[in-house]
Amino acid sequence: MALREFEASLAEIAARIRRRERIRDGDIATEQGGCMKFIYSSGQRPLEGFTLKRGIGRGGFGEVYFAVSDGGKEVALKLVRGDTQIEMRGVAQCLNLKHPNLVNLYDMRTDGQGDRWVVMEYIAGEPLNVILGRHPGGLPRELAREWFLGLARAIAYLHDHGIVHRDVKPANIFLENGTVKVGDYGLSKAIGSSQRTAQTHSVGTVHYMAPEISTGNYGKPIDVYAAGIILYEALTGKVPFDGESCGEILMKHLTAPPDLSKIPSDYLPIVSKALSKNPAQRYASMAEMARAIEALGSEPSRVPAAAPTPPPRAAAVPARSPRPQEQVLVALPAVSRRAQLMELCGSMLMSVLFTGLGSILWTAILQPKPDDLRLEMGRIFFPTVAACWAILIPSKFWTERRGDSWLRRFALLLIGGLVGVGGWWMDGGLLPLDGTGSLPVPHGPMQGAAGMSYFSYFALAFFAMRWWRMTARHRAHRFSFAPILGAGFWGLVLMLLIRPLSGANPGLLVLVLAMTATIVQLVSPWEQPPAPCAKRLRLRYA
Amino acid sequence: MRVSTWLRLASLCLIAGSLSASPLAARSPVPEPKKPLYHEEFTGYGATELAAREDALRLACDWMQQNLGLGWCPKSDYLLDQKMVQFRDPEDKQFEPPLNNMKVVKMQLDITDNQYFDIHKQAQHQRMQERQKTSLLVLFGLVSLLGVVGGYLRLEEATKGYFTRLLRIAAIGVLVLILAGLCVVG
Repeated sequence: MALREFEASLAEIAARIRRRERIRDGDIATEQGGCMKFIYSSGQRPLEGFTLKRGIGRGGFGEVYFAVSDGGKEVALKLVRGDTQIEMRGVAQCLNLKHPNLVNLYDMRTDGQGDRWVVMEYIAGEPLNVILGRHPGGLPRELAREWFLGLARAIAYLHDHGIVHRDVKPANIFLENGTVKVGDYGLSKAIGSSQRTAQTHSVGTVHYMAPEISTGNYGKPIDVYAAGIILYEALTGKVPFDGESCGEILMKHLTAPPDLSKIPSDYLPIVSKALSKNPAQRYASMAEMARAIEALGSEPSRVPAAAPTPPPRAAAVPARSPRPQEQVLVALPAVSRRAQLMELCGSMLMSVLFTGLGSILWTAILQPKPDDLRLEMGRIFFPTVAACWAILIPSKFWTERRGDSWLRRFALLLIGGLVGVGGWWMDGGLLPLDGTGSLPVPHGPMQGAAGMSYFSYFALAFFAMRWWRMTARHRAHRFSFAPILGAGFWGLVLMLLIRPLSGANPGLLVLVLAMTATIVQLVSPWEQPPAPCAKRLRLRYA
Repeated sequence: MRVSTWLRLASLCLIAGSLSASPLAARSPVPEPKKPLYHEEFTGYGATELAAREDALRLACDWMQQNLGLGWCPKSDYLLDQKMVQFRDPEDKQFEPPLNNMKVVKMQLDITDNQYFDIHKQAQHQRMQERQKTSLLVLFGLVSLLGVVGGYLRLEEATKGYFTRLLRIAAIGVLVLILAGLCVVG
């Protein structure tokens, strides 16, 4: 009977989480009947005294806007929808809390339509989950330690004031100017009310949900457990329990031991203790866990623990068979999609400018007949711009991401082929369909074979090199001659292979490739790569 | 086989295909130089001999544009300069009023292999000019679009949404103006 109740409880939790996640993703309609889009747009004043500037986030519990008060104070306004009672009770508990690692809550307000709003501190930084997404191998250890300490202090402060956060996860942890800020108090509740009978809703996020939540225990240890998961994720880049469905993940939380093989040996006892299935075996408080982390000191241990690991216990597990672990040494800077788009626009515009200058320079050297001046300039300018754009656009989305080099090459092969066809067309290439003549053309040099040669030349030139590396933000040098020489070399090799590009100046096509290699480097944003690392370590994107 | 192996094979096939498709491999034998490639006769009519000749040349130009399939219409001077045409002696012919007496000139057009290649080159140049002009317009449009989008995003970011509406209106206005300008020019 008890087992059946437990299973039913588990299924209910899974279904509720699934629904919340779907609402968050905008897959299903909300209670108001509309699809999950921001209800208010820029400039509206649903709440007296504040002007909304833009929507900045959505969650299962509401929407968050960036707004400015009439006095000029920048704030975040959270429109609470759905579980208002839970949310408001939690916010009320936290309104007067003050901690440098907590997002400040200023006020709770009700608008003219009866909707509840929470006025909060506006954080311009990125959430931790976005930063973790850029570090598939985990954060640098020192950074993970520093940020985790901020998180632990904030949670410990909440616990000291009788608050359990209950939704500790990377998406609720923000980083602004290097400072960790823990936000989203929507699910907070006083510890005293965490009895099973008092629960009307299951809360939390499935990957960070402690096992005892399924039995209705919502005490401080659930935050310790979630913090342990975050520490695990920060160190390894992955959550310890993952699966196809919420139920599977929950079941793993309940039964499966975490794989601690990738955890550095000095962190192993801490993570192991924090992830204990039994809440009594975890740290008694976040402050204790923070002290344990602090005790590790600033000297990072580069030796990860051996696999497989025994079920988590408080006892220290000795490190075995040291194995080098690839890891970045500093956090990659935050570049949002919006920023990427801005950069891309800038790079593409700059590439046109640089190509124009290069074309003028080349025609000045070449000194063609005055009648052919513009024509010759165009023969360099247009294919180079097309080639630059063809590299910049996909590379912008490949930057700082690990991916299959061959797939990227294949994609570039197709793109290069299109550039080749464009170049052939620009060079006056004539498709058989274009010809309206009734007489047979004896041996037109610009017919299909030449088109195929153009296609092949550019396709293979794009395929031959890893062009996306020239645009990588953290490339070794801002500008290097090696890729230009490489482009020239491949241009010449291909010219020999696909020799008779009729009507085209072979040198011109090599020049187009070399100019492309030059310009994409010049216009792509560059940042100083991370500091040199130990010999056994290697930068993931190098 | 792994994906990478397939991709390598595909690239090899592409190289092989391009080699076999290259004009060097597909080159046909060069025709005999003396024999004209195209031979056509035109008859021009006019009040004077000069007008009749011009009429014949115009017909030849039209014929070349329509039948050579290069989309290029040569000028009369080009045919004369290249010595592609030969005029016969003019004849007088009586027509019904109001034409009455007219000069009739027969003209022979011979296009040799070399002349054809020159025509081809001229046609290609003309096509290149037209296409470059088209591309320039398209590029200008794209650059404008990028400038407007990039500018909007940067300004919107810099002003943190304080002037979002104004910026959107300005961006749309600028784009409409550019589009209108391109339509007028194009």
